[in-house]
Amino acid sequence: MPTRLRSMKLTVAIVDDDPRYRSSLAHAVMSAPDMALVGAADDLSSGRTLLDSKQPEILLVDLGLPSGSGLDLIRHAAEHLPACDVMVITVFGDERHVIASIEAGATGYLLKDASNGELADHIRALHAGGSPISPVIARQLLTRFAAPSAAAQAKDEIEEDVPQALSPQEHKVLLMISKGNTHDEIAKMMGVSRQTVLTYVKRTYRKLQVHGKVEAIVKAQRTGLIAR
Amino acid sequence: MNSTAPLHNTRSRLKSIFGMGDEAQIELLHVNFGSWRSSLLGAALMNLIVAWAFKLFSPASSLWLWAGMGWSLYATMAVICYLYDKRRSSKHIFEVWWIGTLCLSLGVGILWSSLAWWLPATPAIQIMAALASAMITLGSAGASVSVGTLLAICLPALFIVPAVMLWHAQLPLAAAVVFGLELFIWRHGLTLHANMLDRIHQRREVESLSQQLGLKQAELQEAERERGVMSERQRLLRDMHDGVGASLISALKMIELGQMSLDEAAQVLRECLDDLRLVIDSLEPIDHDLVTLLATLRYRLGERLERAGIVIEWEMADIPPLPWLHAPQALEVLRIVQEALANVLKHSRATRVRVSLAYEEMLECGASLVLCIDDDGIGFDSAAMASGRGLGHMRHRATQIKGLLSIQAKPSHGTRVCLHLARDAPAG
Repeated sequence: MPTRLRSMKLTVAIVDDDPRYRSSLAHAVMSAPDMALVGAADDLSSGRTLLDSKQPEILLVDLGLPSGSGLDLIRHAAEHLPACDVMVITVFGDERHVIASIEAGATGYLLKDASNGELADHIRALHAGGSPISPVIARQLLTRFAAPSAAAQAKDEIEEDVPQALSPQEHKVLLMISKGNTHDEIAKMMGVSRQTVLTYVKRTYRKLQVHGKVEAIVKAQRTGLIAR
Repeated sequence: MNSTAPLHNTRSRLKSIFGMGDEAQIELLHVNFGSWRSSLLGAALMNLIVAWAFKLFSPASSLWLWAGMGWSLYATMAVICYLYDKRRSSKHIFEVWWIGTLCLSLGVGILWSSLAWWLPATPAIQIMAALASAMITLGSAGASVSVGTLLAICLPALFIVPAVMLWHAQLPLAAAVVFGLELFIWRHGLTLHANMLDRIHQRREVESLSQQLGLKQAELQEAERERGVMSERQRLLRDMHDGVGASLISALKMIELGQMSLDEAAQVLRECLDDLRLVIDSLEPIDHDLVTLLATLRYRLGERLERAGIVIEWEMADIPPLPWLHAPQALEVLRIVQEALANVLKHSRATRVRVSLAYEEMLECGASLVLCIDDDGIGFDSAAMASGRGLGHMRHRATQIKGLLSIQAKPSHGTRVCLHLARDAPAG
């Protein structure tokens, strides 16, 4: 954000039930000169309180919490703190967990064995508008978006129910990532900056979140339930 | 046991005669009960009209009595059929109702057989009446649903009609001819009945066979699926046992003995984590896409190579989905490439590594894939190293996916590891 004052630090909250990993994360955040830790919680309810009271700009959250799924906390943040970037902490970054997190509203994920330096870099990148993505997840996003956009084209150009389809650039970025190209290579090939490539990814994440919501509503309507 | 067996035998034979011996016979009864109703009603109506006509035009004759009895028999049977049809269940038959119907059939048989007896003893009329009885017997015999009904219709005809011919009409020759005719009708009815039962038996057999076939097929599919899951599980277990498990245990032993530094321990743990990642990646949904599979490897290891000052050149051809590329095969591919890249990192002192996937359509042996890892490092004497342990493992893995591994290396001229794969290779 260009208007940010230099003296203002990036506020970060951590919700993880593993005390050792939590303190190591806290240490990494505190030792970054441009970040401030506003609090750390170990379960769902205290995490929610922390979010509501401190309104952090970044939330680092583990999915497996003792009192419930971290997905609930991600949804809470996405609903009540639109300015907050949610980063999921995961051991393997596997497709199942990451896609579920993105659908709940996360825009980034962090591998648990990342070094402290890498962690700070990832947080900065996320806050600047760029999301990390693995080839498998890129591939998954491509297949998820392929069906509705084709259906929309077959019927009418604009339809209110169908979530936004991928733009050609976003599609290209995902395709190249799924083939193993790095962000730098893609930036070079497309003639844009690395940061722009990362922004494209973040946009597809936002679209998937909307997509997931619409899918849930459609499913609920189909089965006769009322969407929550 | 011995004393009850013959009794049981007689009972089952009796049931069979009355059309309740097995499910096929019961089915035949059920089917006909439904269709009888309307024909019985028709017959009852006919008899009513005949009775009324006789009463009106020939009041001296007692034939109206005959027709009236016929009407009451037919009407009762029609009502029974109607009630029965409403109450029946698919398998069970109400024996009392059925035996009642049989008795009524017997009544109808007697009535029709005695037709000639009600008429004047003129030879022409008597012979006409006997033939009319025979015609009715023939028609009823054709619709018999059990040996019991056949008996109820034919037995009276067999004895009463010739008796009437003999004593009422005084025509012994006609009596003999009619007896022969009725005997023939009885035989014909039996054959017809056996044929009907046969057809039902055959149809039921085909039905049960196809049902069994369907069940067997479903069982087979389930077994196949379970076998797949089991072999997948066993493969994972074996893998954990030989890979991560073995590394962790040997590291633990060395740490306990104080023979391993913290750095070395961290290295072992990192390698174990890498290995687990490979297993997880091999299980990810990639839809047989080799390019995405290889991409995950670059995603995992790329940064590490670049930090070591090695530039990666990534050249992937567009290839179609590989039908044989399931999780086990994906893991072998990942392990081979990871091992090759680890060798580059550890031994080659390379500054550049090129990972390329090429796709070739060949007329004589189908499409094939070549996956190569080239580096510009120090290389080695491939003749001396051909039997090295790491290379042996890679070769073995390649054969597991019906592939071929070639390694070309010369001192100070870099190393080239190529994995040749067929597009349609059957999964091993």
